[in-house]
Amino acid sequence: MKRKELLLRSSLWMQEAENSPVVMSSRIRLARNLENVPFPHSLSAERSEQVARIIAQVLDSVDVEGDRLTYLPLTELSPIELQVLIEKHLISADLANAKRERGVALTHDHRVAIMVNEEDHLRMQVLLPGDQLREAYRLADSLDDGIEERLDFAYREAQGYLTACPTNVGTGMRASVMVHLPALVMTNQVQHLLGTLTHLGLAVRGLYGEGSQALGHLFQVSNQITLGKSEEDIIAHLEAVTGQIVGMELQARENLLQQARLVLEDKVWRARGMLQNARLLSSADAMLYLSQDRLGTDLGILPKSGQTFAELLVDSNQGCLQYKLNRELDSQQRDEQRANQIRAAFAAANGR
Amino acid sequence: MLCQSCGEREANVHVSQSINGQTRELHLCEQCAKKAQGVNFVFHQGLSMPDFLQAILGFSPAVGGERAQEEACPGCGMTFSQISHAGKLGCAACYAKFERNLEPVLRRIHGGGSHEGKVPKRGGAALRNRLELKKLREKLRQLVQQEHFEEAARVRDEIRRLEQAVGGSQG
Repeated sequence: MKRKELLLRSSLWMQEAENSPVVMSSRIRLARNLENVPFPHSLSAERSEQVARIIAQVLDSVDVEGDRLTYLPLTELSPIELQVLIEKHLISADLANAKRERGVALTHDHRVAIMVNEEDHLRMQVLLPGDQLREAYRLADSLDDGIEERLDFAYREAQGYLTACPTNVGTGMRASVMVHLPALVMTNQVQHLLGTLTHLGLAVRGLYGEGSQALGHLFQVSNQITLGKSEEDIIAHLEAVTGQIVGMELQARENLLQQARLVLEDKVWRARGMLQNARLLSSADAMLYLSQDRLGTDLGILPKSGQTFAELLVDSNQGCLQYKLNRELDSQQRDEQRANQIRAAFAAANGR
Repeated sequence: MLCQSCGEREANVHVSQSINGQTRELHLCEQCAKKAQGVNFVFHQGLSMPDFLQAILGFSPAVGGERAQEEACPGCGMTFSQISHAGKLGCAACYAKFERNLEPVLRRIHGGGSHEGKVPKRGGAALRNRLELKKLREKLRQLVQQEHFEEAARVRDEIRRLEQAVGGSQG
């Protein structure tokens, strides 16, 4: 089953990046629209099919540094498959829920994911593990060049690339990093930090959970301004601020080690104990313990497990759980399967 | 020492916080420390994106006082009221049609300024040259201000060369 293989495989961004304990992944997303074609939300059903067909044809022949794209029309996917794509950060919930003809094109390792007929005709995403914004932009830029040879994009000199929403106009670029900040959360510094970032033209959101809860202690930091700055400037700014955030998190970890080592060791060992022994794990519990476990391995307190933090997190989401087992699960069955899967991952690592 | 949070129990957890470069020590009892670490804070509760846009777009007053018959975009037929309501433009032509209405909106979102980024390669040679000229003129202005006259002269020559290539129509 080819599609299942493509969807289930571990995405490149989930790999452990060398020397990047805080920045989990880097993402560049470019928004582009076809010239002389209304934006997706104002297309008739017929036109949106036409547009998706034209774009899919072009994407079929695009070369991504020796790799090919596989185009998936979303109308052919089951709700669980859509859920899996969302959980792996390959499509947005908006794309999954839209009624018009739409799709996503993926490379086999998921480092490129191009959404078709989301808010804009094309949303090209490059997602890489660790701190690699520049490499992600280089790839997105060359991908954009390749597609632009075949399609004319809506563009004006003063406003740059034209997008359905005025918040994306100009470069059409959203650059973001996903950061893991357990020590800043534990020491209650994260709120202050996040408040500061909004004054720097950056947007921050918790990755899991809406608004009030930052499950997994994961945050996504991205640029807000897309017009009036070059791609280079936007990336340099985000990189500089990310460097500061990393410094603060590492400092907070150091402080915890120096001043509360025993409490910290106890916390991460308890997390490991839960992951290795629990028979039922809710999604919130899993994220908390996996986050603390990752902190423990980063600090050298805990031995590494066989799978990466991101893999364990993503795979324990309900869409992935059900898709892997090929059946629907109720809430308690999900907690059981989640615990089983995580326990197995740690048991395998221990050679038991 | 007593816990700084409850003031009742003995403080046995010590946490140092660094805020704006100032390090502050916190001495807490186990219960309060646990509570503090378990607290999830609220940030960015804010408006959802469409609400947010409707709010900004809605704020911008109609230009020219057209009332009875609102003009529609020739590309998609949307009026500016409809755009404000949807929080999205209908098509690329809306940007030209409603340029004056959008100008304050874009300034509010992005802080003003025009596109400085990538230019499409196809059919964009003239445009790229114009943008390059704009960048060089800005650089020249800065160099003169900083009194780097040698470097400024080089940039000036470059500007002249580019102006000739563009066709001398640049003022």
